[in-house]
Amino acid sequence: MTKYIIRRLLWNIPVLFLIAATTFGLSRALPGGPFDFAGDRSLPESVRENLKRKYNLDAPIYVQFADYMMDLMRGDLGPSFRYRNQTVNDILKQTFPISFQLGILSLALGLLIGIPAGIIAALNHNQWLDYLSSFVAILGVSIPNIVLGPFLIWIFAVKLGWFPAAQWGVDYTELYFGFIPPMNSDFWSHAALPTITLGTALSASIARLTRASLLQVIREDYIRTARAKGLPERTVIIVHALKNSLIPVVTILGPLFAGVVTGTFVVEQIFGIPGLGRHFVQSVTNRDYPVVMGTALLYSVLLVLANLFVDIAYAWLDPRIRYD
Amino acid sequence: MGRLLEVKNLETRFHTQDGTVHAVNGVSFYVDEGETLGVVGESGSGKSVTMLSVMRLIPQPPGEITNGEVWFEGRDLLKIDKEEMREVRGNRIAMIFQDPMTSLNPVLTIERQITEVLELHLGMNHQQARARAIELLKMVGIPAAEERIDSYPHQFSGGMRQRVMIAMGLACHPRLLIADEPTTALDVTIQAQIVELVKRLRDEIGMSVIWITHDLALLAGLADRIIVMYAGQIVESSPVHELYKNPRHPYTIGLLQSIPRLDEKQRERLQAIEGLPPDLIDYPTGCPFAPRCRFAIEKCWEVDPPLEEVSKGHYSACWVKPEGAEIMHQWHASNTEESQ
Repeated sequence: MTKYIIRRLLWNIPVLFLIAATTFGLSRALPGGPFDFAGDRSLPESVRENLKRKYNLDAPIYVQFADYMMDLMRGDLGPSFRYRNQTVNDILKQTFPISFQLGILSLALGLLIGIPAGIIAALNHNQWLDYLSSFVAILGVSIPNIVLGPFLIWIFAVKLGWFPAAQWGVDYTELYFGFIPPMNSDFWSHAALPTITLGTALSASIARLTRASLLQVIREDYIRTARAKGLPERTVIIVHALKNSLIPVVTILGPLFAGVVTGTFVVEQIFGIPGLGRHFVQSVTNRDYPVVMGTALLYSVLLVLANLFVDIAYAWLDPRIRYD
Repeated sequence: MGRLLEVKNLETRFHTQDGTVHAVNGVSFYVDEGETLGVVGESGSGKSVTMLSVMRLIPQPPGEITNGEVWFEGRDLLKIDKEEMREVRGNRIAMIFQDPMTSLNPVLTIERQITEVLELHLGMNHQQARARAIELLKMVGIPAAEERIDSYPHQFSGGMRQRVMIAMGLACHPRLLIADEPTTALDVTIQAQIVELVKRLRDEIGMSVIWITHDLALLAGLADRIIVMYAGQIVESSPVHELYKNPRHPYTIGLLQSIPRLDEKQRERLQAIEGLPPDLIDYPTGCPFAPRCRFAIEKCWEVDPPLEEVSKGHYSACWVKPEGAEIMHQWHASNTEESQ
């Protein structure tokens, strides 16, 4: 197993290299450059040339890429072209923990609601509980966050006044492990609505998948065997069916995890969360090449790691899957 | 011998989008203590559904047991509540299934799958159950049971898995073992081993066995009595030797003529039963076998024949009740002529 993990990790290096090269090339292939505008004003040609020279942008692209990779080896993701006093490392350090935390909370909420809802729906196949849960799930999948977010703010923040409308920020002097803020009531009051917004959509897709998968598994012969043994229905489902039916759910958890912990532009914008999500979008419009690279690489690393964990989880769920 | 199981007038339906499937239609039979009953029929004849109905393992919906009584140890199993039925399953009546590849849970160890029955029905703690499970595995002939008990099903061969299924079934010393085509998915040599194993264990434990199969030949050395099912009905019921000697239903005669025999000197042409079984959604009014029957008379198309006694303990549901012994004799003779 250890050998397998090491091999997989090594295999991921060329994958990440390819992603880096592609992103590097594509971002630079976009028309326009990072220094076309300063605010609303366009910069004079001579200033732009000077800035380009300063950041080595006038060198051939392969030289730039080689330089970038050398810096990357040292863990230096370079300066931001747009946020003049910040490096990409600074930006990621400040924003990623926030997105990560919100992502983990949403994913936890999604699993907490999604898996039981899927089980309930499957066990009441074609009865009203199934229809209800499927209806809610489809609703959850179909309502975009850009609608659900403001809707929740309108009810719970504006009308009921239970939570602040769009606020994020806790005392960042007392961080656990250097990046987890204390989860006090203050934290929960501003984290609740965005977590629900993100978690609803996640729980809906997890519920649908769990239901479909469990419905398939409970028709298997070994479930009939379990019933023929006289086991209580609860044992049949939890011990004999659930583990088998979780494999598809675990499969989507990898990409879901990588996507959700790196922040979501829409939700972060709506709730005023200073997370990483907006940098994915803004860095591209700003032609802020190092930030584009930084966010893309972070996402890729998380994705390949998450998929590795998924594959390890398979082996735990299904003893027929063995790696060596 | 006391009566262990008595099924009366059992009827099972499946409600599907295409209509109601008449899977089991007024089936009555019994099993005495220590007796082995063979149930024969082709795919879709209702033999498995009948036994799953006895166990109340029919998926509901779409299935529904619409009529009948299942008397076992003084109770009608169709009337007792779910909890009581769970006490019967795996404990008083055990069932083993056709495909040992899919009937064992792939993600649980053999140990877990055997011990859970023991812990549930016999109240053993885990250590006792494990020790007993090892004994059971040895009993069904698994070598190195102490080590292999921690394996997963995929680490066993098909025959070994069926042995595990049997060990699981026999864990609580059931009074009745229902074996639903347990050897169909196995190699012929393994088949014989499994049959021998069940025979031995049946005699050791003193239980009754219902053995479902589509292979009439297999039952010769195993069953005491045989019932033949066709289109969800019992068409013939007889002590085993009587059935082979003098079958009295055209379907049974057809089945016997389609068994290849290695003991005959001359090669015989096997006779297939022409046609297909009836559509169980649009159930025929007359005898369901009439369209395929070479003895059919006009009455067969109009009225479904009841099961009538032809000799002691031998019943046939046929208006004609041809003398199977004669027909078989003539058939063998004509085959012999042809090949000479």
